[in-house]
Amino acid sequence: MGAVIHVLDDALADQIAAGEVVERPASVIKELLENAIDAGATRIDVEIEAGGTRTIRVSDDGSGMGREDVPLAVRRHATSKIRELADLARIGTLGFRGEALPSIASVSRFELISRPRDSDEGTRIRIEGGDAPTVEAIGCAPGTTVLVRDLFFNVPARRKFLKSVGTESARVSEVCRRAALAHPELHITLRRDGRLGAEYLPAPNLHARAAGVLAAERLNAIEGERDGVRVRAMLGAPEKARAGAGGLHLFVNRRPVKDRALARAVSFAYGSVLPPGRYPSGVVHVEVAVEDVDVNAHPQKMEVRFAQGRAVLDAITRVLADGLGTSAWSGPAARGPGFWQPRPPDPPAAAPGPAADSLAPGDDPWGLAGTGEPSAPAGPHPVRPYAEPPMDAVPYASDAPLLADAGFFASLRVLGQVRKMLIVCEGPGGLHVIDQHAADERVRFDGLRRAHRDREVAIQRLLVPERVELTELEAALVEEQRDALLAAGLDVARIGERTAAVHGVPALVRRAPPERLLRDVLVELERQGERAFGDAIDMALATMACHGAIRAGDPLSLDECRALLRSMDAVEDFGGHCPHGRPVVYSVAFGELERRLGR
Amino acid sequence: MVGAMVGAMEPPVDEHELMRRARALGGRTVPEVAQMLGVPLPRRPGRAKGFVGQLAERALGGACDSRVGPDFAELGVELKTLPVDGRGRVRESTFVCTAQIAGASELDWSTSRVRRKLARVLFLAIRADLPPAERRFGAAFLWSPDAAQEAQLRADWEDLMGAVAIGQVEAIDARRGEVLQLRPKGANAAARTLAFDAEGAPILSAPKGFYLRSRFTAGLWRGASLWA
Repeated sequence: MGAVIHVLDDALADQIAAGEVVERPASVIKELLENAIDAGATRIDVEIEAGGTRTIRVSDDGSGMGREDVPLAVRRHATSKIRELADLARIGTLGFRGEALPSIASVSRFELISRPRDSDEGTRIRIEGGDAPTVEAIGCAPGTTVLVRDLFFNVPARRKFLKSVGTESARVSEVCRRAALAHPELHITLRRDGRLGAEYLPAPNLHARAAGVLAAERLNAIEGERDGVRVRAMLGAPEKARAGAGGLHLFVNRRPVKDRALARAVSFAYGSVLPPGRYPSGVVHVEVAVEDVDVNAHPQKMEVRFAQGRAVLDAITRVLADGLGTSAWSGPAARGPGFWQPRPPDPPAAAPGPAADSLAPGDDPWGLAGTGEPSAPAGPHPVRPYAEPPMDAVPYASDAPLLADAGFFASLRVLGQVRKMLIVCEGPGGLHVIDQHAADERVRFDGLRRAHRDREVAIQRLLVPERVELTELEAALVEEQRDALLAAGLDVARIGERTAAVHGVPALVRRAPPERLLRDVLVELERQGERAFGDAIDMALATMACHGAIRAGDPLSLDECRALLRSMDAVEDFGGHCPHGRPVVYSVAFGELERRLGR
Repeated sequence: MVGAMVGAMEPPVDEHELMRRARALGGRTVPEVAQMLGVPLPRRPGRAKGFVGQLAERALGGACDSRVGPDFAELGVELKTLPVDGRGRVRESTFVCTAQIAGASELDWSTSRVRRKLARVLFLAIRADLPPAERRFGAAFLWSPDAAQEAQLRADWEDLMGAVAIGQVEAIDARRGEVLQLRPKGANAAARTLAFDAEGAPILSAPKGFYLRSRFTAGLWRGASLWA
């Protein structure tokens, strides 16, 4: 029996390797853009036909390659970017694996034309499906042009995984957009089937570029450095947050990355105003020393590993939280579920007392007979999806300010309360409609957070402690976190295997049902494994603020409305939003009103 | 302290210890506490007046006897349960002590039982508007009358005892007294004690007890910065 194991030929090996690097036209363009950027290009033109499945052309005005280098560029593991193992630890370029061009060439009809600026003639190399290259001299402009035709023509199995032209085109657009966001100095154009699809003119800085590229979003610029981590970001308002991180563009050392932990670190910076699982829109650039980040974690280089992962993520959260004005503590927070749920019915009271010997059969004034096992504690409240304001509701109104001007709310003239829910006010520029619950919730949250920070949360003792049936896990949590609960204003004692007594609640939210406060706070504390404890507390305070706040349906006098507005001005941060990110105020400019009324 | 009861039933060494024990009762139901103390529950809770108070006293390490002095003699603290409903309304007046009908004219406020009993009181709220199995202990607070309260109590006491002293004991009803009432008090309605009528002739009258009006005790828990 002959040998059954044999060495693959280079062409087949390249095709297999291409599967890791080249998934679709967009990944080809990503690699080519990276090469262009590494070559020092200032302008890159991308052209595609049929979503890039028929033709991809990427031209740059970078340094170009000479005749000796061009054939090497399409050989596997040939690169100018690293030379030795130690270089892997300090990669400053986007590409370095030496895999992209041979991989692309192995699955397409490939052509590369390049000319260094100081050379009179260029070089063209052609490869068809990984066959032997043909190299020839050619007249061309300085820089490099790569032409990729009939991608996957020789790998039909892979071709059938491609999506529609529209989908592939959109992916290409996204790749170009990410490159533009990462490199504001670049002039990038994208032509699709002969038509200009996008053009990114050079911008003076990252912020300007982000503002231009994401023009539809209202972004706030944040910049800071902590523990060797520099963060520059343009981030959107919490009410514009999305369920996934699709609107959040992350870059590490200018390299676009898709990293769940990183995205979460960004969302945590919003504190309680951002519900768990939602992410802001915007751009975040993180810069760390090249030796502190491993970009060789994935063939497509979309994932990175930090040498000090947790510290880096923490630094990112802190810098952003400082910029957003949400950080009373070290960082993350998120909101709890079920805030707007009606209070669940009280669980049937357990009667754990003994069956007294003195009781005669049928004589059960203490209700002890038939109680059996204690009734199951009420489960966690169902999570109500975060209510994002419908987009069609706010087409002409200004967004709530992330950071309202000092004195803004007090300057408004209260016209009245509408539907026992909204406070309608007149301001210098227009009408303002304030959600009384969201406003009061923000005020109370701010007060609680300040008191907690100063370790001065006033506790309101209850005349009759609320008895709360819990799961064993929750009951254990009550014991473990008793001090933390106390610091947050909840005086709770475990009085049974699955029973706790709430002796006191924060005075600021004393009208809130104690059982609900405890349950929701425990939900937050259970989540603390995902984030720093202080942040779970932040969330817990937000929960309590919500429960203790004025509700829709509560009538307010004019004086009470004014008092609420004055309190709003004292809020330290995010005055325009409730702790869960809902806008407090909806404004309509007089000009807009007049236009609508035809005046 | 989950299953363990409020420690050994030794008398508390100080008010702090007493309050700690009282707090440990908070939220527990009457059957739970009875079980932990091994106390059988009365067959008819509605007719076992005083059972919850005695249970609480035992749980806190009180003397559990019917002596005239304070329940926690070493501390000079009297225990009073305060039955309330879910909104904090006090459901009934609070018994203070029996009245000394005979020899009323010789008595003085400063040495009266009422004053001694109310000098230092541990009020223990009981959520009493629930079915017997769910009745539970609430917050505890220590109280001593301030000057205004003492003046009110004294005025009522002197008015009531004055009426007794001049033989009007039978004419006193529950409407008399702003914060302190004098009402019949007896294990059974047939119980009688020696009194005197307006002419000084001895009569047999129903034993009387002093009670704090519920609106007065409601003010006390609010004064203790509690919330219902």
